[in-house]
Amino acid sequence: MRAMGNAFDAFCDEVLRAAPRATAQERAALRRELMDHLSDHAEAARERGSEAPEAEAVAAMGDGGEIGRRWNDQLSPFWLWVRRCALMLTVLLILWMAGAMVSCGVRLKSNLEARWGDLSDRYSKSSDPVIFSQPIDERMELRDHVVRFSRVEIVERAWQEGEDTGDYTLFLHCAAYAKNPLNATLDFGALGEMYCWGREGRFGGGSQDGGSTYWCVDFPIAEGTETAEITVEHYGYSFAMELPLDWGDGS
Amino acid sequence: MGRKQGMEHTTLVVLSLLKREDMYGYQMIAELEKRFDPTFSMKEGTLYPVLKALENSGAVRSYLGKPTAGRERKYYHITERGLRQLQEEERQWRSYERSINAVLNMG
Repeated sequence: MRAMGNAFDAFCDEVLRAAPRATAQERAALRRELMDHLSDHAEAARERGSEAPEAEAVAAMGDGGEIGRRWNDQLSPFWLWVRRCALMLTVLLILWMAGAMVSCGVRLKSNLEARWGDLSDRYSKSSDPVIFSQPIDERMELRDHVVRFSRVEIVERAWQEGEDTGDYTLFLHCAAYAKNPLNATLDFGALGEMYCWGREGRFGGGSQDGGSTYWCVDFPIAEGTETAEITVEHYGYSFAMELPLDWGDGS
Repeated sequence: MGRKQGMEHTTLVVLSLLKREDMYGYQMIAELEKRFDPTFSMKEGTLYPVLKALENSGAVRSYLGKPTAGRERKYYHITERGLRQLQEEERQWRSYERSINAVLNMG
């Protein structure tokens, strides 16, 4: 009984392999019809005294591939093309989602680093003599983003050559990230204005990777100033902090 | 040429059988074996593409039915269009037969 089923199934498989246009329903219907035919033939052959009724039934059907091809020719290619287009769209969707997930993952990691990471070493070291350098963690909340101030530093360098701005420059290192970790960070063009003792700071360079923005702002600072009074204006949001400065510590 | 004629004969034969009564696939084969001498042989599986073509053209329609004391089978029924097609194919066959006989009877 099992051998009969296997031989009949194998024949039906051969027929249906040659019929790519068939829908699942058409395949099932033809398989049922062929199996019924094979069973009927085998039963009749058994009654006639055949020693191999199943094999006789399969042999009497003819070439399965040829039957499948001729049957396939009678079917519309419409659903075959619908299936192919659906498969292609599925593959494209999976690739797009994979790309989006990777992109989201990178952005998420970057956002979390800016949010919780130790940023004490995440800044460009100055080549000028460092008078004072202190990690800090002050945060300014905006509507959709947070600006995190991570380090204040004084270096021995005139802020603007040729101008009477003193011999020292104060650097304020900043990071920004979106409150929603999957959202984009602030663009450089949207960083707002920063002031130190009323003097507007200058953008000193930075980097951005989609999940976070890192930059520094520099200001002229007079020697011996004990605190840096920093104010930030960002499109209606204000923030202020006083940072103590130690001119005797150059690390 | 022989193979093409074989296909055309199968359509004519199937429609002729269905004109008498509705039948399922193996039943048609069994009936052909009873009526025709062994020189008319066809691979049984070739019946199904022919039936599909006839169904697509509206010459036959199918339904599920139960033969006496048997399992459910897919039956085929000839339609009005199928009867007209049968009439036309019979006419062509007889014309073809006359032509062949005329050649065979020559001298």
